[in-house]
Formats: sequence, C-alpha cells, structure tokens
Amino acid sequence: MSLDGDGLRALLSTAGPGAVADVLLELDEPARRALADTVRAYRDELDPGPVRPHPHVPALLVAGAGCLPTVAGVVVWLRRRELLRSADPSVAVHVARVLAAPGRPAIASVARQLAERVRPGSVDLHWPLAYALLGAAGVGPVVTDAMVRGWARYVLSSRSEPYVFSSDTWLPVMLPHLFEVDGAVADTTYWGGMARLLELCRQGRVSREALLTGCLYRMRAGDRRAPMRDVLSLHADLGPTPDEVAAHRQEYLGLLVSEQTAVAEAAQLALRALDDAGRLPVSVLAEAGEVVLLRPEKKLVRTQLRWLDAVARRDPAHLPVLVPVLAGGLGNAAVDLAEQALTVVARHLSAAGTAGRDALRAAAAELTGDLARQAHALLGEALPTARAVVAPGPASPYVALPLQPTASVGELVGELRRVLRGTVEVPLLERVLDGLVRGFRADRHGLAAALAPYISPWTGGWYGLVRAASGVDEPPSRLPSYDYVPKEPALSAVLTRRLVELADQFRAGTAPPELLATPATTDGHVDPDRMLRLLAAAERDGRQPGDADLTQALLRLPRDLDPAFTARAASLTSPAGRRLHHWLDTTPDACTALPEEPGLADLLARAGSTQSLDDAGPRSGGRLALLWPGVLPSHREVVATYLRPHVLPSIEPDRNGDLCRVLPTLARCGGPFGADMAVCLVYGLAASRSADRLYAVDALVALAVNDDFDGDLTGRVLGDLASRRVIVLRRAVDALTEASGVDAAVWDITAGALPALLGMPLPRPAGVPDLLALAAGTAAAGTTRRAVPGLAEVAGRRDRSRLVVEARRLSRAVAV
Amino acid sequence: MHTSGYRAASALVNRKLVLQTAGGRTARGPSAHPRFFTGFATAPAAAAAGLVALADLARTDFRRTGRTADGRGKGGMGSAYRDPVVTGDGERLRFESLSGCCGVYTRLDVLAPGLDGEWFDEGTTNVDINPALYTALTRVGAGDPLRLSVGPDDLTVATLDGALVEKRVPLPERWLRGLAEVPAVAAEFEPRAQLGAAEARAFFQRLQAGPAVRWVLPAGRSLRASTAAVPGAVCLPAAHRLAPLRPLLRFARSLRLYGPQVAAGGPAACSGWELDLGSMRFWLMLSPANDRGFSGEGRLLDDLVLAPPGTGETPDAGGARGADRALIDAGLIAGLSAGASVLDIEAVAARGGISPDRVRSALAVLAGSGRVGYDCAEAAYFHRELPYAPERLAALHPRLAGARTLAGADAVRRVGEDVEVLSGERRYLVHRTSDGRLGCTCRWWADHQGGRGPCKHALAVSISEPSFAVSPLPALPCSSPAVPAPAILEETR
Repeated sequence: MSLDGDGLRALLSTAGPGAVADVLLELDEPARRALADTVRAYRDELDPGPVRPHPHVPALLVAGAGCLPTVAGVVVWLRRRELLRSADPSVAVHVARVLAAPGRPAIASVARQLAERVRPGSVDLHWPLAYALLGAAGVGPVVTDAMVRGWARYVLSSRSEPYVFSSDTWLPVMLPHLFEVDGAVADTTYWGGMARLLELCRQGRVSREALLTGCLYRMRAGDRRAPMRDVLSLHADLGPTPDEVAAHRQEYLGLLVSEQTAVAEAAQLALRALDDAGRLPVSVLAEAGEVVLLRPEKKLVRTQLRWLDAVARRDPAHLPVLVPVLAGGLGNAAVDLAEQALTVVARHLSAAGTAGRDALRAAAAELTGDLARQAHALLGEALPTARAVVAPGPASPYVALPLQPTASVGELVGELRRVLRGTVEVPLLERVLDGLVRGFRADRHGLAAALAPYISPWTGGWYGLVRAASGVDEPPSRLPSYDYVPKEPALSAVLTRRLVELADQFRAGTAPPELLATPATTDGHVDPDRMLRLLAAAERDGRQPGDADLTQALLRLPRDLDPAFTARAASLTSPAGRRLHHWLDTTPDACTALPEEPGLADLLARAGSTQSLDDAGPRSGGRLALLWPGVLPSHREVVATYLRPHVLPSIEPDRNGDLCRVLPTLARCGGPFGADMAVCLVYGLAASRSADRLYAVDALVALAVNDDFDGDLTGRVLGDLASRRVIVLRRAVDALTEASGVDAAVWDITAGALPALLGMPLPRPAGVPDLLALAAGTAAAGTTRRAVPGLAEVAGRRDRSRLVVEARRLSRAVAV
Repeated sequence: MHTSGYRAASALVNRKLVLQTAGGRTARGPSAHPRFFTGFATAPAAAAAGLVALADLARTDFRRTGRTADGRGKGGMGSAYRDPVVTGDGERLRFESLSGCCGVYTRLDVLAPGLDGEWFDEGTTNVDINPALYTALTRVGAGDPLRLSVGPDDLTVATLDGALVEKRVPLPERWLRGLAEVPAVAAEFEPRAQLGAAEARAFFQRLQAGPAVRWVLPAGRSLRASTAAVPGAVCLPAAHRLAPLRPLLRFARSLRLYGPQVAAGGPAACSGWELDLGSMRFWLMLSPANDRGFSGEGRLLDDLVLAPPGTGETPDAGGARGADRALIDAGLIAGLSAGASVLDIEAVAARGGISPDRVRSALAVLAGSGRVGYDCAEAAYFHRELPYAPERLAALHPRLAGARTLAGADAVRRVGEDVEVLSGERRYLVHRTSDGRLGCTCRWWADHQGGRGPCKHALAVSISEPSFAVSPLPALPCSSPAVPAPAILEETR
C-alpha cells in the first residue's frame, strides 16, 4: 500500500486516530518518513489557537509519532501544547502502536525522554502521554518531581478508568518520594489518595514504617494548611505504637518547634503517649518542656504544664530536673501562661531542693511587674529594689535633616523623574521646584534641552510645569484659570496652586530667583532669615512674590521665632511684607486652629475646605495627603483635623488604609498635642491591617518623646471608641503591646481607657483582660501611679474569670 | 547545569555521619573528592539541626508559597537539594547555602570547639545532602555521640572505589552571582543589636509573615519594630524568611543582628542574623525584598568596572596595573591561606605596601569571582574558592557588559556639570548626587536610587570619564552621621 501527501491530508481531515494508525502501520518506514513534511505542514496550517478541541488533532498527533524521523523530533511533537490540549488520553494507545512499528524511533527512548521532561507546572498536559508510553514500552517508572506528582494525582488517587491502580508496579518506586516531593501530598490528598494509602497499609501492601517516615518528613518540611491536615489525619489514623514513637523520638521532639500549631500538637500527643507507656526519658521530657512552655498557644502550654505536673507528682526524684524547666516557663510572653507555670513551680518548689530554688531565682531576675513580685514572694525573698533599668529606645526628640538643593541639571532631572513616576515626598518635591526655578534662571535653554524627553501632553500640575519651564507654548484652552476651583482638600490645594502659579511665572518671565516656600529642613520648615532676605530683595527690586508661594512660606515658619526677626519683619513695607507681620502678630503661640490670614482664608475658601472635613472617604489623589504635614509643619493639630476623615477608613475591614503611612510624619510635626491627633492615633492603632497599626506605633513612639503628649486623653478616646464598638479593641491592644520603650505613655493610655471599658454595660468588647494585663506590665513605668476608677470593683468580684484575674493583678501593680 | 560526581551518597549510619564531597580545590590543588576532617562533632544535635536548616533553606523559594519550593522550576528529582558548599580551614568547617530564590543566604560555621578530630586537608568543595540523610539528621539526639567525616573516609575508599553518585543540578547564573555578591554585602555590616535566648524566642513568636518591610531596633533587652529606617535600625524585609532559624532557637545562646549603616527614612537594606550555638554559629542573611536576589544588588560593580575588559579577574583597584595588581592578588591569597584562617587587611596592606582601601577594593573583586567569603562575627574575609567552573564565575555582569558597550560606542560626553550618555535614541544625564554618588536620569535610578548598585549609564561614565567618577570605593547610601554600635556589643566583639 502507498500513501502520498494528499492522501494523508484527506485521511487526517476525516479519519480518527485509530484509522490513521492502521494506515501508517501498513506502510514501510521509508514511506512513513516521506510523509513527515506533510504532517508538519498540516499542523502549521491548522488554526493556530483553537479554544475548543480541534477535531483533527488526535489523528495528527498519531501521524507525527508515525512519520517524524528522529527520537528528538517525535518528543518535541508529542510535547506540543496546541496538540495535546485537544487530545484525550485514549490517543496514547494509538501513539504507542505506531511507535512500536519496525524502524520507528525507539518507543522506550521516546517514553523516557517525555517523562524526564514533564514539569510540575504542566503535569496535566504532559504526564498522561508520558505515563502511557512508559507502560506500553515496558520501561520502568521514571522518578522526577513531576512524574511523582502526576502519579499521585492520577494513579494513586484514581477510582476509575483509564488509570487503574490495582496492579500498579509503580507503587514501591514512587511511595518513598511521595512525601518528599513538595506538592505531591497536595496532589494526593486533593483527589482522596490518602485514604487509599491507609487501606493499602491495612492490607499489608505498604509498610507502616514507610508511611510514618513519610508523614514525619512532611510534618518537618511543612506544607500548606489543607495537605498538612490530611498528613496529620493519616498520622493519627496510623496510630503510631510506643515502639514506633520511640524509634522516631528525636523527630517528634524536633516537631515541637513547628510553626504550624497542629503539627506541634500531634508531636506533643505522641510523646505524651510514649511517656504514658513509661518509655520517655526525663531528659527528653525536659527538652520538650523547654521548647513548648515558651510557645504562644495556650492549649499547648497548658497541656505541657499538666503533663510536667503529673510527672513531678508521679516521680519526685525528677524534680531537680523538672522545676528548672517549669521555671523557664515564666519567660512566656503571655503573663497568664507564665503565671500558670509559676503555680506549678510553687506546688513542687519545697521538694525540689536548692536546684529548684536557684532556677526560680534566676528566672525571677528576668521578670518585671507583678509576676516578679509573686516569684520573689514564693522564694520568700525581698524584691530587689535597685533594678538596672535598661534605657528605652529613642529618647531624643526628632531632628530634621537639612534639605540639600540639587547640584546640577542632571540631578534635577533625575529627581523630577521620580516625581513623575509618582513618588510623593515633601523633600523630593521641594528640591525639584527649587531646582527648576534656579535652573530656569541660570540657563533656560540648557534646562529646556534636559527636560525635553519628559514633555508630555498630559494634564496635571507637574506636566504643565515641565512644559512651562521648557518654554513649550500652551494653547489657551489648556491654561489653568485662577477661577478654577480644585475639587480637592484644602491642604492639597496649597501645592496645586503653587504649581499653577509657578508655571504662569515661567511663561510670563516673572519667575523669582528663589522660592520663598523652599524649606530649609526635610520636615518642611523654612529658614526665617532667608525668607526675610528674599522679601527684602523683592521689595528692593519692586517684585511681588507669588501669592501661593508666600502663603506656603508663612505656613512653614517655625514656632520659636527670634524676637529680632519679628522686629526686622516689621520694617518691610511691601504688601508681602505686611502680610508677614500681620501673620506674626495674629498667630497665637499654642494655636490649634489656623490664625486669621487673608491669603490663607482665600485659599481655603477656593479649595472648599469645609467639604473635606465632612467627607469620610479618601478622595481621588488621596496619596497627596501624605504631603500635608509638610504644608503645616508646626501645626500638628490642624493637620490632624484635616487628616482625621482620611485615616478613619483604615479601621474598617478590607479597606486600604494607605493613609496610616502619614501618621509618623504627622507625629513629628511641631505644635501642641490635641484631640484630633489623639483620634487619628487611635484610628491608626486600631487599623484592620497590622502593617497600618505599625505606623501608628511609630507615631506613638515619636509623640511620647514630647512633654505635652496627653496619654490620658488618647486613652479616653480609645476607651470611648472601643466601648461604642467603633474600633476593635483587641487590635489596639496588640499595637500598644508592640510599642516597647515607651512604657510610660502606654500606661497613661491604658489607664485612660480602662474606666470607660470597666464601667460599661455588658457585654464588654473582647480584649479588656489583655488591656488590663498590658496596664499591669507598664504600670511600673508610669510617673503618675493613679488609681483606675472601677478597677477595685471588678477585682473584688468572686469569680475566677480572666477579667477578674487580670484586674487583681493590675490592682496589685498599682498598689505597689 | 552543574554535575557533581560523588563517590557515594552521604549517609548517617550507626551515629557515623559521612558527608561525601565532589570537586573543588584544596591546599594541594584541585581534587575530585577532597577529604577535610574526620572526628567527632561535640554538639551533635545542634550540628544536625544546623545542617537540616541549611538543607531546608536550599530548597526553599520564598517568592512563592513562602514554604518549600514545589519544584516548578527545572530539573528532576533531587534538584530541590542544591548541595551546600563546605570550606575547611584546618580549624573550622563552614557550610554555605543560598535559597532557591537567591534572596536568603545561610552559613553554618562549626568552630574549633565543635570539632574533635583529625584534619587532612584545607579547601572548599560541595557536600552531598539527600532525602535519606535529611531524615536521618532529624533523628540525631543531644546525647548521641556523632562521628563526622567530611570527605570519603577510609572505609568508603576501600569498598566503593570508583562507584559514583552523579547529581545534576541547575546552577543558574543569578544563583552563582548571588553567592559571590554576598561577601561584598556582608562586609558593609556592623553589629546592631543582641538578644538573649529568651528574648530571641519571644521575638520569633511575634514575627509576622508577609512581604512587608519592617525595621527593628534595640529597645531595652528586646527589639522594637518600626515602619521606617532610623539610624541604627536593622531591616527586616519579608520576615517569614527567618523561618529556617526557628528549629535552631532551642540551641541558641544569643541572637545577634547585623546591618549596614542606614539613613533615616532610607530604602530597605540587607540584614544579617546570627545565632550563637556555642561551638557553632548559624548565620542568615536577607536580601532587601522577597523578590530580590543578592545577584542584583550590584555591590561589586563599582570595583569590577575598574577591571580591564574581558579578564573578569582582579582589577587594578585604585589604578594599580599589571604586576602591581598581581602583587595585590598574591598578597591577599597568601595572606589568606598561609596559616591564617581569616584575613587581616591591615597586615596585608602593610606587607604589600598598599593602602587598606585598595586591599578592601581588591577583596571585593575577589569576592565577586567567588574566591573569598566574609565572616561578620570576626569582621574578616576568609579564603573560599567556589567549586564551580571559573569561567562561569568570571562571566561579565549584564549591567557591566551594557556599560562597556556604551563606553565603546563613544556615547559618553561631558555636558556642563553632568555627563551625557546616549543609549539608542535616549539621552541620560549622569550626575553627582548630594551624597556623592553617581546618579542618573534613567528609570532604574528613579526606582532604586542606587539601592541596587549603579545603573549601566553611571558605569559607562566610570569607564569613559574616570575623572568624573572620582571615588573608586562605593559610597555608603547614607547621609546621616554614623551611629555607634550599642555598647553591649563592644565587649563581646
């Protein structure tokens, strides 16, 4: 029989894979090879991206295997994604048939190469054909990660055709790797293969030891939650005997430090069973205790304490070993768990001899607060009074760095590029504005040449400014008008106005030699002397500084001005000079509201300032709020008033609390501490995302350095919002716990918050006991050791709830 | 692809751990199966746990699940275990490994008190770690004496002569370059904080997963987290990458933190975490982000740019040429291998009659070609020649290759106070920033601000306009005064 190219084409478009295989098998090898080009051409002509299965593809796949001349060519053909995704596994039979024909590239080589080249990411595509050909060629299993995963997914877990498990020769080869290959357990468990493994084990076809070793390997190596759950349930179903646990004792011991709580629990359970069988050396128990007693999980720690207690009662000879272990539990970060450890120590201390007392004394030396007092009381020793207090973290107030001007056109353009790519930082923006003004004056054409690549037709203050500085003509319709009312919060409008004003000045040729508002420091304060000098020069030259520039400069004046400066300012006579001394006259020293200032009032009115206060959600361009502290660097409370509605959303679940980022910068502003700052801080401390809470912690640390930080006010805000369930108390407590080094501030906040929470009608929000514990831990640092209203009443109640236990602890701490 | 031929698989049988070796150099020259040490590990449980942690790390890709790599990459079975590199110096054994994502580096240093036995040779080689050995290592208990051999012991030589276990593992360029970059990064580190065992455990309990960048700074006896850099703080980017240290905490006496000098509000930085295990030290280094490998940090570029094109060898650091350069090299290597296990920069400088800065610069280049490592605990370089094909290590860094093309194409010229670089149709201005580094107007600089080394345009300027790039040493990305290390660290140093 013979078949030419056209005949094959006709066949491929009408016949199925079986028929194509039949025809090709009747040809001799040279005739088949002669068709290779036709086969390739046919594939190239196929619709390149059929989403639905293409009807001709299975036959084409077989034809390629039957005609292509080399092993490499056939392997590439059989891995083609566009062919495989339209073929189902049954086509493998016909591929194997044609490859078995005399003269064809060796099926064993094809199968082995296909198998070796399966990747874990393409198991579903490539594994079925590779597996089928390995079987047809009689080649043994090929062990790669992907082949193990494919076997786990399709064969081990299969309940039906085409992958029949019953007579599987792969099992002994694959089983040792099943738990070692990452992801293979997930493949197995997803399709229910774990149950089959257990069944095989009961039938005796899989050894218990192999499964147990595998489970322990996977528990050690870790996995995602769902597969790990199945590994643990397989481990539990196996029910390791004391002999088996004893053989793997050291591995179980290692699992006690696992990040996954369930793994540590399983290990604890197994070791405890070994102990119940009387086969756990006390040294191993001690090692287990040292590890577990410091874990944060209450269940694990309590179980361990009960276990150690039971062994100590059973065999008092072990006390010299066990009591030091129990004393180590005093180091647990959770006070209630540490206290439970102390209770167990107390039970056995007298029988433990000097070793036990020494261990307790050493552990007690590391403790603070009420727990230290209890431990020393147990020892019958006085609390050491002169404890070396380790200096807390940053004790010095924040010092802003000087703002470095750009040194060359290249540096200016480099910084401008960052601005255009969306970086929002006060020092960066100010360096660019300053650099543009100076560059424009020094060499207008050089600047234009350097800016040329960054001219774009987009609207927006910065793009317009770049066009203006480059001398690009703007059609009149593109020019922003002074009557334009920006739909943005007032403090963002300050910058917008400055950009528009400067662009106008560039176009009109009236740009000043330097900007008044360019800050001297990175936090945004201007140098008053420089400002005075520039104003005097402008007055002399008969120039008027830009309105927005002057407004921003006034807002950036530092608080503690030299009286001589005020005197010299009074000598200015120009309108701008008069605005300066009017500002100096009317700014009260401790203002928390902005002073009367005509230019500012105008600006705020244009920007619709009141609107921003009523609107709770962040508006478009909300990131610009990151600049607000730099607009008013000495008026923290004013900025906080504006920011408050923008920080609020961070306490809601799933809201992007991006603006919490502004809190540390806000905290470092000058000016008195006020209620709105307290509210912003509490919102941040109770933010739903932990990353946002950390910003608030930073802000708290920065604020606590100031003398006028009002922790009590912050605490009252916290207590009020938490008791009304506006915020989630537990989050705020977590955040306050993070704020180490500022214990006095934390004590003030907790003490301020507790009265509202203790006095509220039930049910209380979760987290009050934790807040009490935090208060007890920080009370020693408080400068004002005051009574907490409502505490005595709760502490005097007769139940043993955690609330009462912690309340008693706090009242003891306050009473010291 | 790198193929290591081992004489047999490493195994732990009857409390006898034989770590098989493949390739590399010893003091006596290249060797197929170097043999360094045979004797006892004095702290068996900690040593075994350290090796297990090293193996865990080598097969972990933190960019994905945050857990072990699910092998999505290339390679078949065993690719997950990229073998550690071991260096023996006649006194201590150092096992080094880099994570699959190239962003976490670890080293287990078994110090002299941790080893009790006989030394046969010094040098660097690969050691085989396999699943069976891994499982066996997790079974080592504190009380079991552990006999340790690095290299085939006599028994293996006698019975398994010629029998080879071949391992083929992919060795991507970024992995190799990452391993070479690590010493240059570590050399900038200073100790920043120290925690006792209890505080270290408490700190690890509080760690939060996720890709966020945090900073930690000493607060009392513990650490406080912060969202922004402050002088003296240590960067903690993507904290889950510290997980390999957890199982070792129960052996730890202290945890020490290292980091480069940082400016307030600065960008994320690398950091080093060192567990003191008594007779051992476990060192872990984090790259500045989950998805950043050490290979892209570009610390060496400023030094490498001075090398003549094509050699990939030690450059004329600071202008030394020819014989002078060879002298520096010879001096360094001699200083490293002649009896001393770590290098004393001052001594080498004095002996060679060159400035310590030039020695440091030359050392950075030696690190770049994989010939030295850096030990922060001793603040010293040590001799370690990576046991991989030297031509692969010497391959030109892509950014440097681009820079040489630009410099060769005459695309660099002075314009006012800046230098203009023409690259294709684009024009960039390379300039000196206010903190003295070379900046650029390209997107790479806008995004990274030099945090990942100079861009190719700045490198092209260093080549074509050496007078503009006056400082041969990389300036620290810092504009604030140095913060002295806490006093607590001084006494232990």
